[in-house]
Amino acid sequence: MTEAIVKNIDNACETAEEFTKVFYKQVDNNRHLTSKLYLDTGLLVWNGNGITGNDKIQKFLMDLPASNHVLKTLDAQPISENLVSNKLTYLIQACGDIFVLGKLITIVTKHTKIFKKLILEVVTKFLRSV
Amino acid sequence: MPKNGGRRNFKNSEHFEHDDRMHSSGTRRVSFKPGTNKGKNKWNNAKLLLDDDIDMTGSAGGTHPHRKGSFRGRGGRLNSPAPRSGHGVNKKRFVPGPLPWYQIIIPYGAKHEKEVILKTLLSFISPDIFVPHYYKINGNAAVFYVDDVKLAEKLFQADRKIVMSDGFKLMVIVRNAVPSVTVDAELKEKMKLAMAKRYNAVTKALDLTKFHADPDLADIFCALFRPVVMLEAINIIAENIPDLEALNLNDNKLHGIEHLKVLPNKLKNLKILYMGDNRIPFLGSLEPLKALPLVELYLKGNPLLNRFSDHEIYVSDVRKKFPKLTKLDGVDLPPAIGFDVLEDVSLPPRQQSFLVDPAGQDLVREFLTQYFAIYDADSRQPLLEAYHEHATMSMAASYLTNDNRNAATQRLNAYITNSRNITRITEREARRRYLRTGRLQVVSFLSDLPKTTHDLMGFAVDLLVYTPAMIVLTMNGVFKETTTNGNPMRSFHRTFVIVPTPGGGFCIINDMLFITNTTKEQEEKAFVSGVPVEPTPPTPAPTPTPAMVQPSPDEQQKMMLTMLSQQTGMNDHWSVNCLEQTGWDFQRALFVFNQLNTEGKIPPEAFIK
Repeated sequence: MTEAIVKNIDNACETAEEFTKVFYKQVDNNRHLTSKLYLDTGLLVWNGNGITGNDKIQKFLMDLPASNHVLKTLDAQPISENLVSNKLTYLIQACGDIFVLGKLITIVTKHTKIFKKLILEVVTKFLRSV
Repeated sequence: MPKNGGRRNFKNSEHFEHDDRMHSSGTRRVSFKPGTNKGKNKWNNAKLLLDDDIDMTGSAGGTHPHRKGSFRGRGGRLNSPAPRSGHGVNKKRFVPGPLPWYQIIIPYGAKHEKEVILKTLLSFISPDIFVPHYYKINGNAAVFYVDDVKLAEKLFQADRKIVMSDGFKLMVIVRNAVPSVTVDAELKEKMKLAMAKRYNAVTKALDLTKFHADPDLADIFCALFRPVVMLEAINIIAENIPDLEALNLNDNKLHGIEHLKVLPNKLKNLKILYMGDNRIPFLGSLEPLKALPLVELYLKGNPLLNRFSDHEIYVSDVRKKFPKLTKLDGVDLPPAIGFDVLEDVSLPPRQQSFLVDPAGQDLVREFLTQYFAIYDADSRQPLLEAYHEHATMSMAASYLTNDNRNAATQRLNAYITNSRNITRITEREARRRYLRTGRLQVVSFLSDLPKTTHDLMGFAVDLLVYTPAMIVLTMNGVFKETTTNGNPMRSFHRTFVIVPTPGGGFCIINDMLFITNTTKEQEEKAFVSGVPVEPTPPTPAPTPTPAMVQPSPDEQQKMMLTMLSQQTGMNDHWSVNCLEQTGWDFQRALFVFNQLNTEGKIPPEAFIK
């Protein structure tokens, strides 16, 4: 492994930590601002429901009941730059619990993100409740 | 002159207040005001004006009782004309008032020592004993309070029965009235201390039962049924324990509680409220509390309960006001048929799968079928072909939250020891090590995981990215460990990033796996959709699939066509042409397209769909 690849692995992990912290804080506490984390053409898949586009994602999120996310595991890998037009892209998988209306839903989420101008943007977000 | 004065008053007594108001004679009003607040006291003060004469009126004292009588009739009972007609004391009737407190006025009481008056009265009502609250001299009258209706009546009977040392009969006026109280810094401080003593920080509960009887507040009339006091108490709570969850106001003689409308704003977390043994007259009186998210309420011992002949209607009416109530008067309520369910319903229904592009469906199905056929076989070695040379793979595992099952089969040791959970693994070096890199490492890692059978039919599959260069696929489901004792089931979630191979097949370049225990619901649903799908018999050592997923030529060509068309924007006809000329080599076709396109050799009609 070249040093660049190793650095990228480290970076993926640190980005994942930072990103999930920001992301779930927004979803739980500032839901109305969450869509700023998505690209204009971003995709959100929620339990098999696909939502495309920043605006629609925002609306979809606002219609969900209030939530509280508790992260239990986090994993991240870099995606080969050749595949994504040389943009720094990471695959992040976060697992944990969502408390919705006092009920516990175990979830798995995945984010593919592009690092652009130091702004995190989610290309796709995926959620599946277990 | 005194006689005249007295007589005048007597004559006018019927219209006394009326006159007072009508004439609104400046001098009288002004002189009456100090230290008094009611018309009847004005009368007392009118007497005050004649103070000098009082001693001389000895025999004229007889006129006073009459006046007294009429006065008492007006003041003590709100609209009982009876006393006026009754000249004889015994004919007067004591009528209890709505308030629990009685004001006792002893006109001219100032002439005597407090002890003398109290002793005289005590001996009169003996063997009963009354406790005089807040004794004070008001003008020339002595005023105190008792908080018992029986004692009030006894004292009422004492009127003009006792001849004092100066030869006058002692007059006793009984009014249904509560002691006045002014909330000042001193009272506030005392209340604060008394409340701190009654607060339980562990349960976030404040017990203000019978607060006015608190020994620390004995010298002040600090009753919560007085709105000023109650509001001050609420302010103290809001300032010091804003997260209060339980409040006990039992036995505080609460009557009107309109002012409690500040509660929902000030104490947002208040969930348990006890207001038993008070005097709340109507259920409607609770309206100001409606905004409180109460789960427990205690109302027993309030007149409002007597208004319901049917207990069920009472319960139902209370719940209409407090829909989240689970306990009323100490009794657990059956689950409410509430509208909370609507909030649940607003969760979008779960879909079995999402495909960003329906064209990818067949490819996905075929890829997963083949992959798990090998993965569930005895040897996972053939998976080498399924991974890219520089593939990376990682796995994380964790237990379910609040899972009380404690069977050996619940243990996830086989996974947890290799779990790359970066919330736990914080060292960079370790994070790199737990990431398996290169197909050899990946497959050797996968080979060491417990043997499995996956419930393919139960998979929830989502296709998130589907472009010629990259496919991102996630799946969620259940597998059974086949060689582990007890064949436990696990729940997993997995993401593949898949890229095309030069040979026209596909391979995995990123693989991320998460494993946890199955929930009971998952176990019930697992493997019910028929036998686990095993499309290719898991031969012990299958001939290595040359490249993962070789779709049938047709299928494969169709796929490439769609991809090329998508990527280049060319219509199907030209895409087919391009592919045919490059021998159905996708990468070459793309290359040729790019080359020709930059040279401007592709006609515009190629892009018309």
